[in-house]
Parts: sequence; structure tokens; C-alpha cells
Amino acid sequence: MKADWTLQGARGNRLSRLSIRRENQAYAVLFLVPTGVVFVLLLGYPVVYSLLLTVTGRSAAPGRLGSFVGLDNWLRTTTDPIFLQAAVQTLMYVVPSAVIGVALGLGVALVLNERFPGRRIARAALLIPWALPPVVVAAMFQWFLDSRRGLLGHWMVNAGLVDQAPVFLGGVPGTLFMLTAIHIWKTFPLVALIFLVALQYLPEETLQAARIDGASRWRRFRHVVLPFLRPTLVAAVIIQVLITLQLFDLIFALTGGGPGRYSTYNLYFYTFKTTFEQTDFGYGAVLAYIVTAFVVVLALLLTRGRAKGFLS
Amino acid sequence: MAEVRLERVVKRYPGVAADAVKETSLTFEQGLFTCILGPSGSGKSTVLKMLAGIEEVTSGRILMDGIDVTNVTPERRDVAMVFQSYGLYPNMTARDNIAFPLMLRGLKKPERYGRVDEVASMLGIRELLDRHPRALSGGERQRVALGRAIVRNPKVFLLDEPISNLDANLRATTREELKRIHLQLGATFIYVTHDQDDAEAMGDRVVVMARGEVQQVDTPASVYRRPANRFVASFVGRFPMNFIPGHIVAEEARTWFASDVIRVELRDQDPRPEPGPVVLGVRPEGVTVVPRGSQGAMTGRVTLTEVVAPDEYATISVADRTLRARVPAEEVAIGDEVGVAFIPSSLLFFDSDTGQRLGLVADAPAAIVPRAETVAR
Amino acid sequence: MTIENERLGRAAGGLGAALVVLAAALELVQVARPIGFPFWAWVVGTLVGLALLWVGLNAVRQELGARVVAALLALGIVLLIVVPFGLVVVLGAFQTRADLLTGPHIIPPKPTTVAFDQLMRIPYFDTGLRNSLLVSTTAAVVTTLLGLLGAYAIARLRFPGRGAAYTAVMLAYMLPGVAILVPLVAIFKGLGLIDTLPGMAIGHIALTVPLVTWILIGTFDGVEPDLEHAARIDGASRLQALRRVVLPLTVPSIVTAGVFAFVLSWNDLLVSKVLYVGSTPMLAPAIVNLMDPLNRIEPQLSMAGVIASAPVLILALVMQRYLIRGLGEGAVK
Repeated sequence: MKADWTLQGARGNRLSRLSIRRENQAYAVLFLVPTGVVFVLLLGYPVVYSLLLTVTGRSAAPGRLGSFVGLDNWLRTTTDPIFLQAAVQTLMYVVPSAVIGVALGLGVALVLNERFPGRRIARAALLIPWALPPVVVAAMFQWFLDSRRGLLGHWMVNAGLVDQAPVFLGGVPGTLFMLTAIHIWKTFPLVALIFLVALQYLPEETLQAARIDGASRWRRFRHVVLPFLRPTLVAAVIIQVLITLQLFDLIFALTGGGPGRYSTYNLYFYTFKTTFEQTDFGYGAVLAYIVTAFVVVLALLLTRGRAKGFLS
Repeated sequence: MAEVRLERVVKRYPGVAADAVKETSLTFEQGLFTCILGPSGSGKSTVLKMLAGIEEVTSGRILMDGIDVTNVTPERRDVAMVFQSYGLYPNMTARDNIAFPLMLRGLKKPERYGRVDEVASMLGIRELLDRHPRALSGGERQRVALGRAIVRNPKVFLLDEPISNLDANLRATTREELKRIHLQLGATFIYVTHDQDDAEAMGDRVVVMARGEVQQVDTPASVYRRPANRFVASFVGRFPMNFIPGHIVAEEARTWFASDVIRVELRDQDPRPEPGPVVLGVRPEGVTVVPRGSQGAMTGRVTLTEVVAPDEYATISVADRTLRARVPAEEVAIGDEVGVAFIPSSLLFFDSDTGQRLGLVADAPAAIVPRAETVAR
Repeated sequence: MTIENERLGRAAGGLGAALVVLAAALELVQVARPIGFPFWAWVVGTLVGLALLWVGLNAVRQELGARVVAALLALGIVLLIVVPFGLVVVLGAFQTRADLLTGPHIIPPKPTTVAFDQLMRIPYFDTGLRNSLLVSTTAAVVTTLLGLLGAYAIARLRFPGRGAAYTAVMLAYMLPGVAILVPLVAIFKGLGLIDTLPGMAIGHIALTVPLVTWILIGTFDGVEPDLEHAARIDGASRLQALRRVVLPLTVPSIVTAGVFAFVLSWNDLLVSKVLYVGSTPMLAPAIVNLMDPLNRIEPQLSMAGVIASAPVLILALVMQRYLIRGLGEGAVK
């Protein structure tokens, strides 16, 4: 038949002429070098350098290491009252954010999982708080919650909830709670999205079987939906904690750490202050490592859990 | 077309104890349709992938037409491959899929599409050329994949279980078509499968593989009638082979195979067969039902029948054993007491330990002497 | 609790709807101009109305009650999200200072865009906006390219240290910025990159590369390996196979990754602030500046918020389907 179709001609490119193994290696080098340079220079080296910093004293500028002070900086965390306060306050940010944020997110996801017209718009709206720059969120709540001209106070007075517009962002510890609330506002939609996507994987038949068996809505939720979502629930909580641990922008923009001296500090913010305003790089590096340690441990928990199928 | 040879090829995966492919030397004769037959995990797909160049060879050489291609990248080998999942490019039309190899070689559009049309006609898919893979059925996709392979007229065609995802009827017609294409093109076809029907229908040669090792290389008929070892004997063949363990015993001038249900006299050989444990194997076609009490027959009772028109396969209890026999349909019924006889030319003997087939031959019919207990039961 | 009779259910549903709407309307009026409608009345009315709707409409058609209540709740959720943003930012931006001083107006008495002109005349904002546009776009593009290459190598190529590379990407992705900033500043100072646009871009690239690489590793892992094999056997070099087969398939995911990078960069405050000493203002620090009570001029701050939100909101709108899938599956998978 078509025996005359002998096709020859150039095949592949110059790298194709190498042996299989060499070709693999050549591409590996070609593709990894650019990204690798970024990783090593801008991420890897600074991490190692930071470790060095943890054992140096105050230095005048980054780039010039201070004197060696052993574990002084590390030990300082045990006697530093601000550290303790920041740590406790970090918990005050994290726990409500995780609990309320995830609960709210779950509730919203369940609501938005029903079929009704306009559902797609509601889902899209969930992206708004995620997309907004935190500083814009800060600016907008700063006005919204302003005691004199803020809309919320004005509305609350009119609605009859209070006699006088409350001071949202001025008290201790009220301000911290307000920040937590704002943070929850910004993050619960993301949690809701996570649950919504997870719910898509719930097989229809299981729910229908339950319905046929006569299970009420609450029963269906408790015995079918909730067990199915348990891994996602754990993942969502870990993610919320991870995000909240690194809460910075809102604190910086809205309160600068105040009112008072440290009433809205968390560990991350304290690290920033120590490093960049007090230029105590050694101690700052220690704080950074502590925060990083928590973050990395949690994140590894998350991915390891997924890998083991525990969360999948 | 080209001759493809593996010389002492080994495939080892790091961290895995057993080699995926143990040291193997094979020759795929040029122009022939060779099937690599084996269960999953036998290493057959790995061999194919090494031939294609998408798996690295741990040690050994691969030669095509005498040229060492062991480390040549896949794009520079003159092989075409059809995958089990077809591997069609989802973002291109069927036409562009088939034309892809031609495009890579710099052919201009008119010429490309001209050849695509010829191949499409040959495969009967011309109307489908403008569709995307997602709009095609399994059988149609498979033809497009074939077309993509054919259009290059390569020296070697590699096929990795290409029809296992199709339903039974389609498989049968596709087998015919593949064979037809093979005869038309005359190229060397290497076809991997776990389905022996494929090997029977299309193969000029069969390579049986298990656990990374080649068990036998032969024609389909020989693999069936003269399996090299117990594995091949039981893997090939639609119905399980009957196995009866026993011993070789020497009695005066004659050598016998003795078991609990039957004795078989073995033909004289030089050197004389050594006494020892041996397993007798016989396919259902070699087991017949005869009138009770016939000379040389065992007696048993029918416990199950399976009709495979025009025959029937009867499961018969003989003493403590279960034998399967092939009988004309509806000749026996469950519960019948029947005589069971072996056809001497169908008897095979295997070494108990190694499983290798021994070259022992049963003698003429009169040599089969049933043990006393099976008679008159 | 269920009602069997359909007519009764319809009546209950109607009553419930009326209750909810009435309560909402009255409360809305109350909040704008007090008329003596107590807050608890709204709460009770809404709750009772919702309950009636649920129970009533469920009798009319199965699940209808649930759906209607869900729709109303969804409306509430959307309002909760949109109102703070909408009113404060969008409307505040288009009023005059004078109007804002006379108390909160939901409808601007004299809508105007004067805040925009005033804002643009502030040098650090004008420059900051331009810088942010430049830096974030550059960072998104460069990071996507780098991430693409690296991710393909890790996902598809076999090389010593592949596992380590994968772990490195994962760890880098989790790293909080503050851990690397000081040494980074040291490096930049040494190279003279502090407070320069290229330096800022490089900083943002460092910020976003791990995320993008991580996403794209998952993407490439999801492509069927047989496709690339088929292409190579057909005669394509690895590069050609990438270009003609893999990339066309993964374009949506790559673009999504780029969008994530852009959003991350655009919204960033820490890196932008640290790398800025005076010459390279960026948008986020500029807004913080505007929030300072000493500098605060309300319509301008709101207008700044609008401007800062516009690109990311538009991106989110346009890419919503991909973003939702990416965000959700990033956690679920």
C-alpha cells in the first residue's frame, strides 16, 4: 500500500540528540536554574542568614552583623512581658477567628448550596472580601466604625440598640475584638468557598438515600453532610489559624498596635515592630523564627494530613 | 519494517526490590505481528515503553535494524505507538491529531491533509476528521489514534492494549481490522495485551510474560498446545487446564506416570525419565466422556455443566478430584455416572518444582490404566 | 414541624413573606429616620417570618421553603459583604467633604468626582498607583514564567534532589514574609536595590514565586502523561510537546495562577512598605498614609479605596469561575 511513505527529516531539536538521561538533565537544568536562583538567593539564603541573626546583638544596620551574644535573644522571650502579651493576644485573635470564622463559613456554604436563582451572584460576592486589599478593608472599616461619623454607630443609635454611638476602635480589649471581627469579615467567605467546593464532591445519591429513608434536614446534616465534611473542617480550621497567625495589615493600618502601647499586638506585628522600628534585628529574627515555626508546623500538618488521605 | 531486538535488557525501579523486567533477550522478527501476552504486573507494558523510549533501560541494549537505540530519545526513533487511553490531543481536531507527526516533520498543509485523508479513508473515519476527541466515541478515538500512527509509516508499531476499553463486539471487528492493516503495511507490530483472544486472532508470534520474565516465545498454536511451563499452560486457554499431581515410576522395562486416579504409560525415551514428582496437565478438550467401564476409563459423576455452544463443558468428580471435560452439548446431565478418558496426545507433564514442561509423551490409548479404586465406583 | 395542607401552607408562606418584608422595610426606615420601631420587633418579625416561610412553603412543594429561606439568607449574606464596601467606599468617594461632615448620607446630595482629582495631585499616591500597577503586573508575569518552568521540571523531569525541591517549594510557600525581610533588605542594600523599582519588583517576585510554583506543580501533575509521551513519539522534542500539547491544555490554570500572583502582590503591604524609603511609593503604604488622622480627608481616602480595589475586583469578577475552583480545591485537594 503506502510503502513509499518513508518519512525522515529533522526530528526534535538539538537537545533531542542527547541520550534519554542527558536530555532529561539538560531540561532540568534549563528549567530549574531561573526559579532556583530566586529560591536560593531570595528565600533560602535569607532564611539561613536569619538564623545567624538570632544569635547576634543589636546591629546598626542590616548587613552588618552585631556582636555574638549566644542564646541571649532566645532567652529574652522568657522574660519579655511584651512577648507574653503578644503571644496571648495572638491566641485572642486566632481562636475566635478559627471558631467563628469556620462556623460562619460552614453556615454560609450550606445556605449557598441550595438551589435558588441568584445563587451564582451570591457565590461571586464571596470573592469580594478575599480580593480586597487589606488596607482598603482597614480604611473602609475605619470610617464605618468611626464613633462620630461612622455609619454603623449612627445606624445602631437609630435602630434603638444603643443610646450613643459606641467607640468601636478605642477601648481595650474592645479594639482587639473589633479587629478580630473585621478579620472574620474578610476571611469567612474564603472558608465558605472551601466548603462549597468540598460539598460539590458529596454524592447526590447519599443525600437522596437519606431523604428517602425519611431523615429530616437536621438529621441529614448531622449524619451525612457533617461526617463527609470533617476533613475539610479540619483543613479549614488549620487554614484559618495559618492566616490569622500572620495577621498584619489590619493591625498596622487601623491601630498601629494601640490603643495604649501594645493592646492589639500579635506576635507577627511584634516581630515587625522589633525588627523595623526598633531595629533590633537579632531579637526580631528570633521572633520571626518562632512565628515561622508555628506556621510551618501547621502547614505541614495540613499537607501531611492530605497526603495520608486523612484529610482527602 | 525492522527487526527489533532486546539484548539482556533489565528494568529496575529504585527502591523496589523485584525488577520490573528481569534480564531479557528477545527478538521481534521483522514484518511479523508479535503479541506480548501476560497478566498485569508482568512487565509487558514496561518492555513496550522501553522500546518507545519513554522508559529508561536500566541495563542491556535495544536494537532496531541493528542500530543501537537504547538511549535514543523517543522523538528520534522511528516507532509509532497507540496507547490504551489513545493519547489524543484534546485541543486539536481529529485531522490535526493525525497530521501532528507530519507537521512536526515540516510537511506543508496540503500535503499533510492529503495524507490524512488517505489514512482516514482507509480507517473509515473521514466524516469525523473535523471533530475534537471529546466528541468521539471510544472506538472512533481509537481509530484516530491508529491513523496518527499509520500516517508516518514507521518501521515499528507499538500498541499498548489499544482495544481493552472497547466493548466485546467492537473488539472482535477491530481485531480483524488491525490484522488487515498489518498485512497491508507489512510493518513490525508489537502488541501488548492481557487478552489471549488478541494473541490468537492477530499474532504471528506470542511472547508470554509473567513477573518480569519471558515464559515462552512461540506461535499462538504452539503456546496453546505445547506450553513451556505450568504458568503458560494455565494462563493460555479459555478454560482452566486439569492438573493431576503424581510421580514417575519405573516398572521393569516400562515407565509410568502414577497418580491417585490414573496411570499413564510413557513412551520410551533415551535417557530414561527419572523417577520423581510430576504434574499431569490436560485441557478439557483432551478429556472425553465414554461409556462406563470402557477399557482404560475412569468413572465419575457429573456435578456441573456449562454450555458453550456447540459444546458443553462438564465438571466431573472422579474419586477426590474434579476434572473438566468437553462433550457435545446436552450429552450428559448433572448426576450422570460416566466414564472419563484422556486423549493421550493431549497429555502434558510438568516438573512439580520448576513447573517446566517435560518432554514426556504418553503412549497409545491402551496404555492408560485407571487405578483400581476409580473403577466400579 | 410540617404542614400537610397545601393551601394552609401557601397562606403561611404568604404571611411569613409579608412579615419579613414588612419588618425589613420598617427597620430600614427606622435606621434612616427614627420612627419608634423597636429593634427587637425587627428581629422577632424576621425570625417568625422566616420560620413561617420555611414551614409553609415546604408544604406547597418539597424543599421550596428551604430554597426561599436560603435565598433570603443569601441576600442577607451578600448585603453583609457588600454594604460596608459599597456604602463607605463607593459612595464616600463621590461626595464632597462638606456633605460628609453633615453626617452620613446614603445618597450623595451632590455627587462629584472632585476627590479623584485631588487624590491624583498627591505625589505619593499618584506615583504609588503607577508603581503598583507596574510592579504587580511585572511580578505576575515574571513569576508565572519562572513558576511554570520550575513547576514543569519538578512535576515531569527526573533529577537528583527532586523530592527536596518539592519540599523546598512547599516550605517557601508557607514562609511568612517577615522571616526573610531583614536579610533581603541587607542583600538589596548591598546591590543598591533598596527603594528602586527593579528592587521592588524583585521583592514582589520573591513574594509570589512559591505560591505560583506550588499551584502549577499541581496543574502539571494533573496532565495525563500519555499525552506528552504520544507527542514525543510522534516526533516532538520535549519543548515542542510542551508548547503544542501541554500548554494549550493548561492555559486556564496558568492564567489563574498569574491572577493569584497579581492579587497577592497588589494587596501586599509589608514588603512594599519595607522596601520603600522615599523613592518608590506603592499603593498600600500610600493608603495607610492617607488613613493617618493627620492626613485624613474622607472622600479622598474612599476614592483611594475605590481605585485600589478596582483592578482586583474586576479580575475577581472576570475570573470568578477559575478563582473559586482554585481557591476551593487548593484546600480540599
